[in-house]
Amino acid sequence: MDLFVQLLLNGLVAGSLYALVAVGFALIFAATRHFHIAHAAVFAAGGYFAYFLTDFLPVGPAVAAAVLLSVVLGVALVTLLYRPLERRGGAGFVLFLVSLGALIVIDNVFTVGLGAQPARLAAGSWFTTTVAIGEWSLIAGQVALIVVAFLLFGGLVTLLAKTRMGKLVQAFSANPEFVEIVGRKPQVVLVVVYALGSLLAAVAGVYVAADTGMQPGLGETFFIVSVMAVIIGGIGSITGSFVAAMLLGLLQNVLLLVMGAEWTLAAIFVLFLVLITVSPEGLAKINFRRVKASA
Amino acid sequence: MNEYVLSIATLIAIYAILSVSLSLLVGHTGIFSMAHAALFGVGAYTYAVLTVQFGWAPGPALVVALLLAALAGAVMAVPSLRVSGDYFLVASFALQVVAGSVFENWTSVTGGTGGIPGIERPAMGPLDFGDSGAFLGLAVVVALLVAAVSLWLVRSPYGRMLHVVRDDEVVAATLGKPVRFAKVSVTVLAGAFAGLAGVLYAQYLLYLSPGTFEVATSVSIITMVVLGGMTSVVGAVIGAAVIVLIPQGLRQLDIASSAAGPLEQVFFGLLLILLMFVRPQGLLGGSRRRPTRSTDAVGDAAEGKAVHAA
Repeated sequence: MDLFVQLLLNGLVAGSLYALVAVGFALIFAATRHFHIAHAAVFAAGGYFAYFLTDFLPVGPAVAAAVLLSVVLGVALVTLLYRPLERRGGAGFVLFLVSLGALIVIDNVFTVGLGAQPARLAAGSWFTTTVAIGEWSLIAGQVALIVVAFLLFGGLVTLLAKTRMGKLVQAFSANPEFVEIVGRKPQVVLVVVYALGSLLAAVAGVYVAADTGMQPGLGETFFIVSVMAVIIGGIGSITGSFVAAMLLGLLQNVLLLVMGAEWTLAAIFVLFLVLITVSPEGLAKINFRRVKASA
Repeated sequence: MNEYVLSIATLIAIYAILSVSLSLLVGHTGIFSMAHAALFGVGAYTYAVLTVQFGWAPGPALVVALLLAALAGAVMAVPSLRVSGDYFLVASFALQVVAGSVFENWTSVTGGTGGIPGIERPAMGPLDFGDSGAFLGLAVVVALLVAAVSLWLVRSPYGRMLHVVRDDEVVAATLGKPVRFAKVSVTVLAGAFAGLAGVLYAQYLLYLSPGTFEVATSVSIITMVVLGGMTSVVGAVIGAAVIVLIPQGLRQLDIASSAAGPLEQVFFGLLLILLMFVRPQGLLGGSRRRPTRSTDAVGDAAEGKAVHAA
């Protein structure tokens, strides 16, 4: 039982990371239908930028600048690559391949300078201070991550529900033509969703750099687990993505009770494959059906 | 020809088998798979484990390797029957990661990160494939056979059935085409071809390590197919040659070895982006643009729309 609770706490940490990446992707995907795999590169860039910037700046400003640069990167991807491509009639598969190309380029450009060495961000001694929670514990960095993840999620939901721009994003996601009908430029919505989505992913990337160090290929793993969360949570549902990502993080850690750490990710993927085969509409849909059946 | 040239030519032949078999899925059936390196690995590892650890003869080991790779293809077909487009992309990515994890972590069988050394090349009567020239001959003959069978298939009624399934699954079903059979049979076939490439690769390198069968390899094979032109068998072979030769060319430049690998990847990535802007149909994709198909392959597929509406 002791171990179980500790695993749940660790699961909350992993879930927060997945949730940040997943919610960002869900926002972008719902509005644009872009299979933006370079989201993984934006996540990685957050970590790499923070690592490199600490050479010139104190940690705080370096992290802020890193997140800002990653947001610029995400917006640059949509304005310089995806939009021009769409204007040439490229969509779906073609857009995915361009995004894949961008991911490969960005991930490896950072690696050229570093070699095989992980980019480990020196966040300061506070990061590893132990925080006792009952008989269990986390480090301060982990607690900060969980708090930030929930705050950003809450902030995003509020933004979407309460502000004019948020409503415009939601309207655009439901019907892209609507935005033009009411006389707004769709490009504005694209920039907004890519900026917000990239911000969330970059924050997760910064944490990973401070915790284990950023490495090539790491972004893809986080990305693919997060996309699974988006699919399980139901495409278009920000809250569904958040909850599903948290559950995946928890599950991945609880699985440690029955298997070695090297197998937990594979187990989650197998579970996802079974799930998507049984219910392609995602987990949210299964629950809905059950409720309907019992009513 | 010196050993180096023979070795590169053999590698091109092996990758040509992989890209031709993936073009059957991606180009002709619209199944966009990120798991081709996994099928490649199943063939290679099965052959290596059976011959090295269990002392099997090459013949039976080859047969079992092909069967298991075909079976892995059939497993891959299961999600493709339920979902398409972006969803299948994620599913195949998951399969690739699971397979990679098995290759790397099932230490007692696959040797883990240490891999499997000590694989031997077979001898067939007077032909000793230990000789690089003879082995290149074998690889080229196998690659030509795979290309010929693929070419024949895609031009047959079977190939036309695949094309209908690719262009519109609902229409295919309405016309009474066996959509399920089409998808399962083509992934099984592509799996067997990829497994064959895996066996050749094991015999070629005489050593296997899990790094060869990672996501990056799947991406390389996709790049070969896309470069060659999705539906063109000859294009797939040319794509394989280009992608194998680029790193060799870069190696001639004076670059530190730690930077060479990432730079090579940067080059591939830029190539992919440039290609999609300049010639999305690939080198031999023909001049007629098929925007409907490229949109349908991922994204707006029937399933995706249904989910969106739900």
